[in-house]
Amino acid sequence: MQQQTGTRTTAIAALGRSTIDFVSSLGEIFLFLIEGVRLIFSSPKQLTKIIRQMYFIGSKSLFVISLIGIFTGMVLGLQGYYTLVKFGSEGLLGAAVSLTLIRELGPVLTAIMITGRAGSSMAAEIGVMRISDQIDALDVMDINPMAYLVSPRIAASIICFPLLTALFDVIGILGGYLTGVTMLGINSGVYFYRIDTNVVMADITGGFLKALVFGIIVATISCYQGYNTHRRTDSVGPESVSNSTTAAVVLSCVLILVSDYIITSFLL
Amino acid sequence: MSTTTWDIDLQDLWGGYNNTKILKGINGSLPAGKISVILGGSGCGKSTLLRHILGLNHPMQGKIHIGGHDFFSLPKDQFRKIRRRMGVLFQDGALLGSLTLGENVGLPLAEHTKLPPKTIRTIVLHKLGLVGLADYIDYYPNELSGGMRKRAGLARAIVMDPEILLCDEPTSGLDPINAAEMDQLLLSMKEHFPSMSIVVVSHDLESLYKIADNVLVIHEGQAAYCGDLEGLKKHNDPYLKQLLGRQPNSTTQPVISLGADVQEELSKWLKK
Repeated sequence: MQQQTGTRTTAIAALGRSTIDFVSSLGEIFLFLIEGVRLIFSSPKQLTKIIRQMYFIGSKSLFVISLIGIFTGMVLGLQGYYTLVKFGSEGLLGAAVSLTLIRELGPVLTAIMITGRAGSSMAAEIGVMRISDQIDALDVMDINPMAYLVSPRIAASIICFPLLTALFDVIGILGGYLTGVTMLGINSGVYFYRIDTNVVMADITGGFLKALVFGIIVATISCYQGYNTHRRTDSVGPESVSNSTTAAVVLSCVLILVSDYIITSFLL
Repeated sequence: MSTTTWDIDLQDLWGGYNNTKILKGINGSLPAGKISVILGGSGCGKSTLLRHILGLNHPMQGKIHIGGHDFFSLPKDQFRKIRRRMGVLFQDGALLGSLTLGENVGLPLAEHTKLPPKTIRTIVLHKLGLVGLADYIDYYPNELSGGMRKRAGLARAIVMDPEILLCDEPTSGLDPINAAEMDQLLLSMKEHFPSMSIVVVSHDLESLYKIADNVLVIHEGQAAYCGDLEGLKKHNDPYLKQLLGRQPNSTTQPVISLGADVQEELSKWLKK
């Protein structure tokens, strides 16, 4: 009986400890973000670093975003056509494809793709810098590592995520056009007319808001994981970099989907 | 601060990581204008002491006086001012992998001054020239050998003409020729910058005899000796004699036999 009570107490204590750890790491991540955003404006020299990161996060993601965008649009065109045709509403395909892309799939898929391409590399690069004394070297040179490594990445993500999402949306709509109009024979004018009449400004701003939030989430989580690689308790050295990178991608993807639900519920 | 003598004084310094005490009350002085070598066995706390002097770790107890200032009691801006007077060579150079050698060496200038890029490049070329790497200015760190990376790290450490130069095991992992070149470089730094305090963390005895003016020996987290090289050579302390004579611990016995059964099992596998 006493042993049972002891086991229960230990389990409750462990649950309490992990809850406290979770809440305190959330707080740490939030403070990390605040510091990162504050330091964006610390010096005019930050602009060069932000542009360099925009090239890495933005320009270098153009191809993959275009590729995913066109195929997502094409699949939506196909699936949408075969669903709508059952109700004799295939003329609404343009509206279905564009609204799905602009409000939901565009921001989410873009964010997940950039997480895989740029978020993982942010975590790995900063993690390697941490375990090879490069961050300490910056610190000793009186160069704030947060300002040098984290702030430009957060700023570049805030700028690039909405732009890449817009590109994804446009290319996705063209993908829907390819299957719906070119392959399945929907009238071209009807396709674009339905987009024009059904998509309102609130849909576009809602999509951009999501992209902005996802950008902040991905950059913050990825940089945080890399920056704190040395504090990991599950591994050391190169293994800790690999674990930080995995954690950055998994946590970013989960938070993208969770925050997507929260934002959508507020927007609707 | 321009007339300051950049001595480093350690007063009852206790330090370590988390709750593990590695430095246990170190007292000693590393004088300006000389090469001081921090010597000791592996894991004795040499690099930990260096991290405390650099301000990367906060002491648990005790003080570090740099240039007469109590380093860790200074206001943040004063602390940063003193840190800017330090140059550091980390064990593997710690060069930023995404930047060229020129960008790495010029980084402190680019971040802390408004010098035009052309002037920065001229200064960088001069510093790289001092370490024999002027021709490699546009190379990336991964295109260089370990020795070259260390020399480039030294060029970055001296780019702001620091008053204190700290080097963490500059000769470790280098072949004898490169190690001798690194020693020569440190001696030429002393010649070029006569007022500079040069602190070298090392366990390389050959290097010690070549470059040291002053030695701080750490043993089990405490200062076993602090003074000039000649004094160290004449010292009668058993640990210092063992260290300088490269004598193994009497309690450490080499394992000769594996045991017949294990040896037999291993042999079977090796023959397959």
